[in-house]
Amino acid sequence: MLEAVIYGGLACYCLASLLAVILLVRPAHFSDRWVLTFSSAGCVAFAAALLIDGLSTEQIPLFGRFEAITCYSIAVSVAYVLLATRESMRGLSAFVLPYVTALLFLAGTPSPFLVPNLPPYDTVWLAVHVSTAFIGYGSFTVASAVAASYLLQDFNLKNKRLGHVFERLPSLETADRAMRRQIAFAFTIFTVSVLTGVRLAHFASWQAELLKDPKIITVLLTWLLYAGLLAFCAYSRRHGKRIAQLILIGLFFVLFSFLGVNVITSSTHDFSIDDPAGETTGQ
Amino acid sequence: MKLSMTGINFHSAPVEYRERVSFTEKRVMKALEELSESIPGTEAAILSTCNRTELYVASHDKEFSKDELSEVLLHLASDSHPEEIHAFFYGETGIEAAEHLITVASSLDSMVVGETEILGQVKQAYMLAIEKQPECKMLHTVFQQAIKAAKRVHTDTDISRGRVSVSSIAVDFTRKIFDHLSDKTAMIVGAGETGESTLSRLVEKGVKNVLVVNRSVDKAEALARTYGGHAVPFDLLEDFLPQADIVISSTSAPHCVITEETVRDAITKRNDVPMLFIDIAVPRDIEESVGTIEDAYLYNIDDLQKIAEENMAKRWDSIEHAKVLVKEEAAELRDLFDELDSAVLTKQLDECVKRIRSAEVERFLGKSSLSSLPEQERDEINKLVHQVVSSILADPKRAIKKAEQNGSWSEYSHVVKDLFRLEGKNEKK
Repeated sequence: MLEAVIYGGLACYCLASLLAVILLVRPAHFSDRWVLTFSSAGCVAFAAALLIDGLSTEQIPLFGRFEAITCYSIAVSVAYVLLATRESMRGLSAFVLPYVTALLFLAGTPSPFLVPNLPPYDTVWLAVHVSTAFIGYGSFTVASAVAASYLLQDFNLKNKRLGHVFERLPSLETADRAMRRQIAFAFTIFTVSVLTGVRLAHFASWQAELLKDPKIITVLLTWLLYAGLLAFCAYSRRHGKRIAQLILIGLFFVLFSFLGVNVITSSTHDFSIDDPAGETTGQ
Repeated sequence: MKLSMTGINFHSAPVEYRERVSFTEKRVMKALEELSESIPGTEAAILSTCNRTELYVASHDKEFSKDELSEVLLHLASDSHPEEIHAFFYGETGIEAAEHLITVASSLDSMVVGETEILGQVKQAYMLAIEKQPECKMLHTVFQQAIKAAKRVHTDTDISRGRVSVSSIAVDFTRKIFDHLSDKTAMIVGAGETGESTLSRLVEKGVKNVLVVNRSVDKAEALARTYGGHAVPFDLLEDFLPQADIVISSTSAPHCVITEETVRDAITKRNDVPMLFIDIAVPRDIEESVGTIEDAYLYNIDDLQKIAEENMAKRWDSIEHAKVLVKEEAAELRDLFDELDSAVLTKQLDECVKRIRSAEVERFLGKSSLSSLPEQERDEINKLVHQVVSSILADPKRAIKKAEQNGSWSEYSHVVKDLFRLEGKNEKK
């Protein structure tokens, strides 16, 4: 049942990505409505998969690799769908959906995961900490997709390329405004995640581990990068290509702190490895 | 259904003749009213633009010749006209008339092939027709199909993709740099014709703040007044440049009037908010290196003309494909015509049979020997005759529907008309 839902969701995302790319590069008989329908269906399927996963393991489905990547992908999809309610932003689908589809293939299927053994009250804080992190990462990612579209449109304008891609992409001003709003929103949510993380570490007596944890260090670096970017934008009131380039660079920090660190090192935030506080197996 | 059309356009007649049969919206309404009186039982629509005037007339049973309709059109347009004007009219009937309307709506017959304005004008002609004749089912079918076909041609081919005039290409660039134009400032340097036409398009698209820079203060003020802007002395160009989001330059200066350094300063003062430069002057007004500055987008006359030529070439390449689509849509319309015809014929058949039935029943019941027949029995006889006639007609009606569906309607309709003597409807073979 779970696998069927996952494969159904993957099929929807594959179809949505294919249609999105076709719409970006050539005139087509179908409209963006199909892209939005299939991507929303995929998103719902993966949300259902998480629910089934959580019910069968009787754990909050956030801590395994599949669960984490799925939550992040859902966050990216929802941020994209909200942005795509504006017609001028629909060209973004060709950037966001193939990325999400690739990630979901990487996520695979659920496997046993470990849940930090915390009192019920702290488990709620943990859920807030993790879910806000995903929403923050998701919004940062969509901001980067908007930045990529800005840079591509800048390239089109500089090189006088008035093709179909030029028509599909948003204007520079629209993209500039959208990426700033996304970053401001993502940063606020991400800050909540960082603060709840600090609180959890305090109550779980993990303070000693904090500064040794590579994940926490990269998360702080990411937070500082975006804090600096926002401060720079607010102080200098700068716009344009340079800001888009900085936001795109931010995606590498997001990806590294979210996935990269887990691949090359081990930390308290690993998807399926014991942490210093002791855990319970979720599946 | 019989459709006829006649018209005069820029291919067939010079402007001095076209203007004699030109209609305003108000005159179209009046003409439609007059037409409903002069040719009763028909539905009419008048398409009048600066490049063409065409009259479409739909009737259940009569096709009109080009001469008949052109005479009507001339009469509606003016009281007097030169005799030679008749030679400039063209006309079509039947499916060819419908195909012509589809071709016109798809802008394949336009002066600038692929322009979309004509579709709006066709829609307007249709709206005026249904306003005056709310029950015009035949024209409704034809115009709806033409509008649908034109949309398909625009979507499925490159016929209207890409702008073909320098000013509209410049506006395209503006659209992809700025979101809304209402809060943007356009600066025009010099007062060349293309520059002013570009400014005019920008104002149409919503630009509200206009700065006019010219060596002649009088000219600057005159142009500023036209567009509700402000005149700026030429010496203050550099000071005002950072305020401008869009700069259109078309001076006759022999050297560059906007340098890279000036633009760099302006962009810095604007905190990297993008600027669009459109240089229409020859020799150029804006240094080429301005195009290399981040957040500055520069297009000169060659860039714009090259794009216009490429787009025009693409449009021409699409014409054959567009013509195929027009044929397909016209063929679809032929089926709709048949459908309308079969519905009308079925109705005529019903009416004819009803007339005969009523007359015969009346004659039969009117006999003196039956005068004492009770009312209930009279009704029974009436019902019986009705049932017999309906049963006899059921198969022919089914055959009419089948013929309409399998495409053999045009041959079949004549047979039905002959068999049931429905010929008195001016059927034209």
